[in-house]
Amino acid sequence: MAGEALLRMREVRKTFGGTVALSGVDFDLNPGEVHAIIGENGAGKSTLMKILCGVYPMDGGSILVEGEPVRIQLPKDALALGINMIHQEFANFSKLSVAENVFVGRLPRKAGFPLALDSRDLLLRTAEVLGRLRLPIDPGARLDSLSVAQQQLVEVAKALSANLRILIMDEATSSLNLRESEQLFATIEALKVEGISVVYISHRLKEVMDIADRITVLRDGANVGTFPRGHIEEAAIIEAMLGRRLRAAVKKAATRGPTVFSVTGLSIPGKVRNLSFELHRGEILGITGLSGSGKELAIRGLYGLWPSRIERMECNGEQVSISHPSDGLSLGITYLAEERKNMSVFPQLTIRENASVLWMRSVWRRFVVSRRREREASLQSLRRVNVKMAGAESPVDSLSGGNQQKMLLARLLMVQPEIVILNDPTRGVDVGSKQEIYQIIYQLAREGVSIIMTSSEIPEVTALADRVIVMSKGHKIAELSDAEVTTDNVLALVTQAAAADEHG
Amino acid sequence: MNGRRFRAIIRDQKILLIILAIALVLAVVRPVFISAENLFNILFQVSITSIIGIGMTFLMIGADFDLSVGSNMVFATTVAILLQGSGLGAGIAAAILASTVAGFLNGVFVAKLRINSFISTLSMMIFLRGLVLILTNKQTISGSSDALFSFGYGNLFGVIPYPVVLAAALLVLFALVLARTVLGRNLYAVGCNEKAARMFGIDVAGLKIFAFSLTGFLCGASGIVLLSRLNSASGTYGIDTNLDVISGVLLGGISLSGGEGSIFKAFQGILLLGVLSNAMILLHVTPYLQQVIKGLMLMTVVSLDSYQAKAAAFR
Repeated sequence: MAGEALLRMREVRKTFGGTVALSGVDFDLNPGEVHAIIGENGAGKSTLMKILCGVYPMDGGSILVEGEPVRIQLPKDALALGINMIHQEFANFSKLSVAENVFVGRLPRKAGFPLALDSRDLLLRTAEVLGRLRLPIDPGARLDSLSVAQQQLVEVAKALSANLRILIMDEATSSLNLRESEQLFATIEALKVEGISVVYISHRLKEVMDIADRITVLRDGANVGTFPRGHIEEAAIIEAMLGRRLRAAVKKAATRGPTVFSVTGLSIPGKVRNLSFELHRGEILGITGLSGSGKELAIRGLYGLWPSRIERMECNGEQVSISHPSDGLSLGITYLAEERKNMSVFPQLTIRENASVLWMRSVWRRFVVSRRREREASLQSLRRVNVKMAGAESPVDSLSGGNQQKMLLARLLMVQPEIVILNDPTRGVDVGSKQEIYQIIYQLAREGVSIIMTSSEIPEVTALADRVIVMSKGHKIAELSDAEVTTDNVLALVTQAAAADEHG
Repeated sequence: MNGRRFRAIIRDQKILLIILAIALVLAVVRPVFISAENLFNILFQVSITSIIGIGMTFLMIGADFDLSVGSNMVFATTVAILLQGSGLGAGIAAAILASTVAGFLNGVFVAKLRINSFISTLSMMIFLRGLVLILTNKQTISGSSDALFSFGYGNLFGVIPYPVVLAAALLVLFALVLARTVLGRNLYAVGCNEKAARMFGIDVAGLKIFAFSLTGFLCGASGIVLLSRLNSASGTYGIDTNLDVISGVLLGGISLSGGEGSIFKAFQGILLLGVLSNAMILLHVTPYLQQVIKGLMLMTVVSLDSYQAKAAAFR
């Protein structure tokens, strides 16, 4: 049938626990088309694609390939249909050669002696695939000798070397610079020429507008519109993405307290350039920008969680340095990590034990910890942030995501910090808990605690912060305060910066 | 430019360089070191650890290891002696089979029951050691046949000890298996990223069981080499073998985290330990000090590897 869509997803639904991730989403893909999906974190982009790849089963809906209904329950079902996804983290073999990565699990054997590897054929076939994508990469090179960008292109070659019809790329440019991104776009063009369809998930509006034939916007697990290229303006897409859900709270009058903390010349090679700022007592300072702007790395670098160079750091007027989180704790600075599961929660321990981890450090000189004091201190702190739990001795797993996050805030507050750094404080948290967490943050600031925060959601930062540092490509491009702190202002600044980047 | 090449040689060939340095010093202060007899003596001393080291290299490339190799080797020697009544050949065959089965079981524990290889092979080490003590009744038992002596003490062309010939043949054979077969290359993928290897259809469990069984088989073969020299077995034999093999392979730069290394490199590490021991004996270093020096050597080389890897990652 001419003009038939290659892929149709209809009324796809998915729920995790009580949270609706997808509420009946439709998605079409034509042969040789680049179709972008954009939306905020948690809009359901990745979930939709993981269903297509057989990583998650769907709760309802249907998938049709060339008009025929198909069942995709496991990754191998998707692979058999020629649906492949570029995996970012866990699917490559850094110590092996490019060729071995491309043909892993399918290494060619010698015709006469099938036990033996046909290394000549392996190199030739890899060179052939790389050639089809016009990639100047040596098939014999060790994968970890390549740049991240090249490694990603090897992943594309790997997908292409098997039977490939649909390639899914999730935030493919998040760790690439401008020239590397252009190489990736050229590779996508080469795929299109071969008739392969590409689903392109991204935060970056600009590049999506450039390469996609069609753009689908997801918000809160629903498709809010599919637009052909050239028929929509950036502003309209932003409007569709954000839906104006988060209205900026009324900013309190700006009476800045004294400076409690300052950083001069924070740099991370290739990621952050010469960032300086001051933090006042009782202030909420937001650091924001698009993903890849360096906002997250900057605050990790400042807390000794990422190798960085800092010219000068002052805390309460004294020069200090933080090369490790324990230095930060000694200065009364606590840090909420962006990843709850891997970086914060101890799943085998109880709620009390989880909450009192930092507090233990403050009492260790006493050598023997009073169980009673520990319980009192943790209960007090847990109550303060309103963790809903059966009891503090329950396993931490019994808490919902939102309550786990609040427990982590309780952990930070137990040591009475002067400064709190929050890296994406509401990631993976339900709407109700989000509001509660915002209240906790406001309350802290009112009590005189100074807060540095960043978030994957720009409106969250603009709603909370008194002052905002806007970053783009590792540079601080602006500083907004009080009434200037609005999502529209921030977006205007980052779009301008991206445009200037493009022309300069 | 030249400086960079020089550094690359230091980095990649440091074991060979250390061996050469020791050899040069010894050649001057103890000329007997470079006699053909002493050199073949060194090779003979490392033949048993090299044979087992092949299996250990396969395991470590797949990100596993085996603590039971010493026990397993003596187990083979014991079985071969006890079953010699039904013929030397039958005894040898049964011994190698028994060791292979022990290795296979290690593989099943690790790959199928998902028990960490430290725990499963530690259990096997204790179990086999106990079994040997029971079978030998805590005595040193001797073989009834000395037919193997012609192998253990014989020389090919009158100079190369047969155990060295056997070790060399096995080293070459399995170096080819590791580098040139699909099975070998898949093992590297497993060690590099087990989860991904499984996702791409590689039989991870099968490969692991193969590597453990191979190690068991090679322990059996080493047990027979031991028999050919000593014609006896005891629960006190082979206590140091585990540590000699593992530290030798580590010296060769094969990391416990898997995914890289080669038989050739592992052999270099084992040879370094052999040369070092021989040198220390010739220099009359006391046995206790010898251990201290071996420990220091391992720590130094592994720290150097780790430092260089860090430096490379930071560039």
